[in-house]
Amino acid sequence: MLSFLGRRALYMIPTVFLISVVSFAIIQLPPGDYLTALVTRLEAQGETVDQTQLEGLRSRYGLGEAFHVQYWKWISGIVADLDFGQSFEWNRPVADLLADRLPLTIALAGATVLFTWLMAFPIGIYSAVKQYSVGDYVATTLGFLGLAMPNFLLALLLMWIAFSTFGLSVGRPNPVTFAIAIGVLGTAGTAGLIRILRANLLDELRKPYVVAARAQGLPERRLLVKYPLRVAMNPFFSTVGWLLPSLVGGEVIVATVINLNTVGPLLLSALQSQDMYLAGSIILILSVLTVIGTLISDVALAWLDPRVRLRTGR
Amino acid sequence: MTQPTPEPGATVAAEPRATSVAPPRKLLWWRFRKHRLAMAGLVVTGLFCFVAVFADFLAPYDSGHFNADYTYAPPQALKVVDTSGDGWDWGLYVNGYLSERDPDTLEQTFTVDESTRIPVRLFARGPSYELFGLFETDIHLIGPADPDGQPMYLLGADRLGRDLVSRIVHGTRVSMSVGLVGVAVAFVLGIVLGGVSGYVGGRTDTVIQRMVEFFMSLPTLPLWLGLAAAIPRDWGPLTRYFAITVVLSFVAWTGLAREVRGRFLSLREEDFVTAALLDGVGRAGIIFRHILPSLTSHLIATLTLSIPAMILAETALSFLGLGLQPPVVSWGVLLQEAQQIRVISSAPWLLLPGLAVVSVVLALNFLGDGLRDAADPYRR
Amino acid sequence: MTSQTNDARVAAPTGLEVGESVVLAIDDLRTHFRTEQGVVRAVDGVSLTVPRGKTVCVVGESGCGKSVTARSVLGLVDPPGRIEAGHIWWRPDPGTAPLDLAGLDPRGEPIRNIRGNQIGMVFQEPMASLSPMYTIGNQLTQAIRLHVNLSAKEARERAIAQLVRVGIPQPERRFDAYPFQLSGGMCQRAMIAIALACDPALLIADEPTTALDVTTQARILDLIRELQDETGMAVMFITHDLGVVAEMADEVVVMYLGTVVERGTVTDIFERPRHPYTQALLESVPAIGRGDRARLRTIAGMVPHPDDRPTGCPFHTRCRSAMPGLCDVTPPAAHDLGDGRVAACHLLDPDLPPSPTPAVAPVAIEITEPDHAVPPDPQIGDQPLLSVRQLRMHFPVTKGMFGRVAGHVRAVDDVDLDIHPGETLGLVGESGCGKTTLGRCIARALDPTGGQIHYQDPAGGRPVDLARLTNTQLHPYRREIRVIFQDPFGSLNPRKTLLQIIAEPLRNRWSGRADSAIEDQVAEMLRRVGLRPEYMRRYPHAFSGGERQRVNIARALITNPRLVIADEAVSALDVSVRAQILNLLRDLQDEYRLTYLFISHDLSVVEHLCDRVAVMYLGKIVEQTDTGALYAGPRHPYTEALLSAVPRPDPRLRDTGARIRLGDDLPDPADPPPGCPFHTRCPHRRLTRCDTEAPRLQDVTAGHAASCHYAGELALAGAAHTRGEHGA
Ligand code: SF4
Ligand code: SF4
Repeated sequence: MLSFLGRRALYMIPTVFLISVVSFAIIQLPPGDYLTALVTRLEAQGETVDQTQLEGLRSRYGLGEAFHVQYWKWISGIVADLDFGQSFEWNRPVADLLADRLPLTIALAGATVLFTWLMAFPIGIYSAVKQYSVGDYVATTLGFLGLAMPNFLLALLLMWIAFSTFGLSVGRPNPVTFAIAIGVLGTAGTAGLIRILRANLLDELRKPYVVAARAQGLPERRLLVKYPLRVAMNPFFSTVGWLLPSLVGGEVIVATVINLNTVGPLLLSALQSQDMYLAGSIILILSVLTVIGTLISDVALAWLDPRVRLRTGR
Repeated sequence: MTQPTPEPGATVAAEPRATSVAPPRKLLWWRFRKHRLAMAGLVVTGLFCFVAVFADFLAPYDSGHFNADYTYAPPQALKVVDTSGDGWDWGLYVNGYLSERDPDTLEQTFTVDESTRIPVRLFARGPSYELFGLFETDIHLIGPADPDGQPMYLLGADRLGRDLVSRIVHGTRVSMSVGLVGVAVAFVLGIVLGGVSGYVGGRTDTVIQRMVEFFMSLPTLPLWLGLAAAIPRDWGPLTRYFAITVVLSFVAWTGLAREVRGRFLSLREEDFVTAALLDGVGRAGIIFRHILPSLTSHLIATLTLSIPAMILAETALSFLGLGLQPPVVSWGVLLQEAQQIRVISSAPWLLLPGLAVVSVVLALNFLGDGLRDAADPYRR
Repeated sequence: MTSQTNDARVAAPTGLEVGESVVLAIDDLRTHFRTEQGVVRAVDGVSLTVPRGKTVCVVGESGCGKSVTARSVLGLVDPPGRIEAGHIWWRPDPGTAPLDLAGLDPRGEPIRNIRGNQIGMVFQEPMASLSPMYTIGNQLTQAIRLHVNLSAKEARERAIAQLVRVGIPQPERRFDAYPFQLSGGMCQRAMIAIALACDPALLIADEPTTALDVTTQARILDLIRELQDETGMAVMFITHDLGVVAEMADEVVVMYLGTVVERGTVTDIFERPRHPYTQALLESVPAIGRGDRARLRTIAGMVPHPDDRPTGCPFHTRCRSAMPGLCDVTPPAAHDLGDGRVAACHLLDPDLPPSPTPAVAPVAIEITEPDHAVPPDPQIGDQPLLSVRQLRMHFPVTKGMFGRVAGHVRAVDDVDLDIHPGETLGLVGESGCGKTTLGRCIARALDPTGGQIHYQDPAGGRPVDLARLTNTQLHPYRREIRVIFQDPFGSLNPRKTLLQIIAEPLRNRWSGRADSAIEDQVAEMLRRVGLRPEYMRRYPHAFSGGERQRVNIARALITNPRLVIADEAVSALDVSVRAQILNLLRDLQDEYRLTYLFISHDLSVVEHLCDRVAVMYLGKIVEQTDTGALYAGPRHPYTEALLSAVPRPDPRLRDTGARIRLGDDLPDPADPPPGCPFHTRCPHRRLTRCDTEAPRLQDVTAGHAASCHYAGELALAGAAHTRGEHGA
């Protein structure tokens, strides 16, 4: 088990490295560099630019040098003292901006995953056990709808309803908008999980070991919980992996409708104004979090599923 | 030599049932036909494709046609018979508007005026267009009988007084094609890399697999956003359109590559492929005559199932202003108009393009599921 | 469903009595599956009784409803299946009244108290029947605590005792093992431990050894018998293997298409079968040790699909004694022949006027022997057609992210083999011994990692080493060496017509078209293998397993090959169809002067068909000689063990002959034991050399090679000697 963990952790290193390269490439993609953009902007506002300060920045970021030199300066800054660069849009260090917003983002993520599990688990089981019942059809149809509905559309609809029927104020964040955000963000995930859980469970229910356990005289409910369900639950743990990024992705979109103080809107505005240090850093952090999430879900899987744990351990 | 004695009865197969002589394609169709939802999906998808192809003809106006006098005009009901006068007066028409400007807010409000009547006809004349780039015509399926008279807004108008029907119809073309083209690009990448990986195996396989895994470990949406945002603002609409499509497929190919590789691997182990090898069939023959034909139905199903994701992604990107830009019209671009709750509460019909998105995505999902079940009745 | 009051003795309409000596009595059971295509009557009027403490074997070909019958007893039929009618009288204790299990709610409490407690059940796939997520111990203690009120600790003790009882070594360790860490045989022992955890009065075993190797099968059968002696439980044993029936049964129930055609004691059934189907079935099995190489009698046609069952007697489409106007109209009643024998056939109807056909006419097709009883001594020339030298096929075992090679599985390891023109060489061994890999190397479906395969073109010329040729160079030889595959379903491309499949090797490589001459050739070939030429444009899905195997044969023979490698070619087939295919292979060999390499795990079939036999173990050939010599006097302990493990379809041989039971399971082929590879399991192992020095394959007598240090000294028992004691 330990060696499994160690190996999995080692595998992360090349992935994280590649991710940082891609993120940096995204930073570099728009034509022109950040300083030129800054200068034009400052000059447009009629401010003068201090040439020595400019030179200092230029060498600080290695601007005008080869890609790998710039990359090195960027990444070593991040690794050494969490210096993600400067957001020229906000005129603040990227790290500070993120520190402001990450806690709420993570709270939202946690709430959403809880919501998703609480919804998907009972519905998925019901749907599989009572296959082809009315409830199954309703759940399946709703599941399809949840997958087909773009989440901003759902957000718009819910907000519109809240606004027009309850006179909700849309301007500033409040608990109701937070709740709506959770609902909207969790819908697609819930629908997906219900589908996967149902399909997995149906598969497992047909396995010979279920008949064998029944032949021992195990009551149906205990049988269901102890055997097929445990296998069918695997997707719940893989959700942890893709949860945060997909959430922030969804949040970006939802935030245009619902005002939230999270990372999503920050990313969006950074992208819209091509504030690439900010955008690239967010993408980097999200990707690294994804990798860590995948690691966690893999470990959880290995811990729960002896087949994974013992076979790969050999 | 002795006559080999064919065992009597060895050949007494029961009279051929229809299924026993049918080629696999037909069996697939028979199985598919049994899924009612999938059939409905097929019909709806077909309808949308039809709309996309004949958009110019079906839409009363072209997508940019505006009229500032009709900002946020509400939908008009299409009526067939006029009973307001004495007796029944047959003929298509819509009621006109009464417009009023609020003296305080300067906001314009419309009410449908039951007394005015704008005659409407089928095959009406309107703005001219080129059908398939071949011949020019100005016939539209439906439109106001008098092209220079009052306009008609069956689903209402937007901020600039543009007809929503026309815009949705034109948007269908763009949104559907983004899905199809994107999937086509992803498909080429996926099938080439996945196929190579699955058939060649060994080192090549390992390298490609690691690559796929890497791409899959990246968070999709932020990556999409980042790449889309990096597209220069000054690119023309068409270049932008293709850039967006490439960005979308760039992320989607990995799943396809995995699927193709998995299928290739399992098919390569099948006895009938070994048999073909022993029959002296060359490598190309094995791939193209034995492995690929067995893959096609699954591939079609998988492709069908990945189009909706593309459409949804395009819609989301455009909604955020990072995807397609006006004057190109896609459903996402249209929904951008509906970003503000205040706007929606006064003009809820602006959400209608969302309905188009939901129905086409649902239809494609049902269609794809049905195809997959039909292609492989024993797997889920 | 019925809710009759349970009298002490219930007489059913068929005269079935649930006496005190009977533990289970099934009366006119009907279990049907309502599908979209219509009602499939999987079990359609089955009656049988299981006497207390006895073993009843239910035997039949696939699709005859034997498994569904077994599952019906415990209410385990999956939807859309349902018990439509009939009774299942259960009387675990002579002192109580029988209970009708068919009347119980399959999800209810009463049946649950019977399952696992009064009736235990084991299944065909031991590995799949245990949940991979829990340890053996967990699943076993659960089974115990379900029905017995014990603390966790007591249950654990009892579970370990139970593991000891079923012969699992190191039970304390195995208690915490997961099923996938154990071999199939171990898993089946664990399953038996679970099924018997509460000392049931009846054990239902549904093909418990079908998925296992013959040596493992023998030990599992022994185990079931021992446990039965110990506890006095009754056993209902479902199998398709007549050899197993002869070994296990006290009474036999023969099923065909959802009905019981005959039942009686094992000696009656095997020695005096009365029903035409039983007779035919018995005659179509080659028995090991008889040295019998005559053509097999076969049953015409194949088992119809249960959803289009013939009217009248279900067997009439294949029965040679069928009486038109009667058999195809009226289903025969079950006639009581005394002594508990029942058979359902009009011929046995005492009221029927004696017909011109003798009352018990043999149904099997007459042996239309080709000109010779035994094939004429094929011209076994001095020059082998194929000679394999030091052939190796090592598969790398990769580890880690970038596929580092961590070791090798030596699937084929230094194999020498000669195949002479016109002969049939059998290749036998347990699964995983490398026999299939060897066959595929010779056919060059795989690229061997070392050694030579010399092929001598009979037309003369110098031998070529096939192992070294590239794919393009191999092209002409691909027509000379052909393969018949095992799986009749996976080996035919479902998207091609028979014509396309069979003609594939004839296609011109460049034009890729099939012209009319090719079509004629395919038509002729189809006729030769006993299929109608008109079928040529149909797709494989229209055919049954046996027919597909004929197509496979046609595809192999269309190029007029010299050597045909038949890889488990009849293993997937039912008994009656298997006999047809074996006869066909024999006929075609004579007609086309073929040489066969016949790969099989089934020693009786190999004895029936082959001139010489090579035995493989862990990638090496351990013994090789003429069939007669091998079966009469094996020279390698492994061969001896294999032979003694094969169940014989003759109940009189049950307690005779040497019983050699191999311990432990096959060692890991990536890490073969040092010295003699067989020493971990060899009963004759000696401490001096066996675990240090590897024996070489050497001639013991002329033409009889074995790789054992003591091949010359050991007195090993063959399969044939029992025959001398018993006569025929
Ligand atoms: S009833 Fe007729 S068809 Fe059936 S087994 Fe007897 S003789 Fe044959
Ligand atoms: S060499 Fe020794 S261990 Fe090997 S088979 Fe002979 S007696 Fe047994």
